Amino acid sequence: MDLPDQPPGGLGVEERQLEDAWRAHAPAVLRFATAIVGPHDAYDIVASAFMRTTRTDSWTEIEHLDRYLMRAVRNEALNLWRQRRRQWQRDLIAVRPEAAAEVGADIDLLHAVAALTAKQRCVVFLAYWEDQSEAEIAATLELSRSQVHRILVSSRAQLRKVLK
Amino acid sequence: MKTPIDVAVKSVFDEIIQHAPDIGPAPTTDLMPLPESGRPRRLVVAVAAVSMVVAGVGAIAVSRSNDAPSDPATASPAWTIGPGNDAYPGVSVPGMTTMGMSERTVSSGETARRLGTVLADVGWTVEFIEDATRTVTADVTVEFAYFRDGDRRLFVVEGPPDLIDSTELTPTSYGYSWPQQDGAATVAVETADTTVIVRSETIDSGGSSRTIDEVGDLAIRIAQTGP
Repeated sequence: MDLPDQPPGGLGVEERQLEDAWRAHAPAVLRFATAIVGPHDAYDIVASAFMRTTRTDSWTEIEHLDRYLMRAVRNEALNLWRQRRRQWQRDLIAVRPEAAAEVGADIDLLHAVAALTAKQRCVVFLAYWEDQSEAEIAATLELSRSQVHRILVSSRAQLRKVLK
Repeated sequence: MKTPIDVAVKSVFDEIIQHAPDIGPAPTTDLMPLPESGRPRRLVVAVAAVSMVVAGVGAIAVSRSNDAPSDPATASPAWTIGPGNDAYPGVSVPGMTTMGMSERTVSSGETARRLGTVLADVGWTVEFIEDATRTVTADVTVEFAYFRDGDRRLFVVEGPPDLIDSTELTPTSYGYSWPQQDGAATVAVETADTTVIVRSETIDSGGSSRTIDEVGDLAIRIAQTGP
C-alpha cells in the first residue's frame, strides 16, 4: 500500500522542503532585504522572492539557493526602487528614532546609508556587514568584479563625506 | 585593517537589521500577509506590489499569476483569493495575520465578457488575461478577472454585499478607496446586490496607475451592470 505524501496533520514532502529552505535561508535574506528596503517592506519582498523562486519545478536543484534568493530580493527591490525610494529612506532612518534629535556622525551616516541607491546598498551591505570580498559579492549578485569595485568606490566616497 | 568608516557603516547596518522582521512560517500561495493593527499603511499589502487585500470578514486577497520564473526579477506571483485563516490554525507570521486561499475554479467566462463590454464602453483598451471563480467562505463566492491595460494591470473582483470591512478605507463619492499607494489605485463600490473592487496598478516602476476617479467610475459602471 502506498503511503500518503502528507500524513494527517503533518507536512507533505513539498511543504517540508519549502519550510526547510525558508528556515535555512530566510534569516540572512531578511537581513539583506531590511538593509536595502527597510524593515517595513522587507518581509513582503522576501516572501515574494521566495514564492517566485519556489514556484519553479526545479527550484530544489538551484545551486547556492541563498545567493539566488538574495538576487531575487535585489531584483524585487530594484523593480520597486523608483516608486518607493523615499519611503524606504524614511523607513531606514526611522529605525533609530531616538537618535533623530541628536546631532552626531551616526545619524548623519544613517541618512547617508539611506541615501544610497538600492544597488549601492546591496553591495555596501555585503561588503561591510557580511564582510564579503569583491569576488564574493560579484558571485552573490552576479555582477562583474569591476562593477562591484566601482559601486564600492562611489558608495565609500558618498559615505566618507558625512564623516568629514 | 578596518578604517573608521568601515566600523561606522557596519554599526549603522547593525542598527538597521536589528529591525529585521521575524521569519515566521514559509510563505506559500496559500498564505497572504494581512495588515497589522495600528499600521494602516499596510492595509494594502504589496507582495511584489501586485497584491490586493481586502481586510475583514470574508476577506479577499488577489495577486497576479502564474508564469514559471526563469529569472526572479521577471516572474509573476500567483493569483490567489481566499477566506479567513480558520483553515490554518496556528499558522501565522509574527505580528501579522494570515489567511488561507481557496482552490480556484474555472469561471464560465460570463463575468469577463460582461466586463469587456463595460471596459469598451468607457473607452479602455484592455487585454483579457484570465478570470476565475473562488469560494471565499462556505457560502460566499466571488468572481475575479485580470486584464492587461497597456502598461498597467487591472484587477476586478465581484462578490456579494458586505464583503469588505471598510473601517480603514476612505469613503468617497463612489464608495471606498484604499490608502494612497504609489503606482496603484484601488476602489470598492457596494450596492444592495453586490460588491465590486477594482484595482489598477502600474507594471513599469516608473509608470502610473489609472486615477482613483477613473477606477471609481469603472467600479460604479460594473456594479450597475451586475452579475
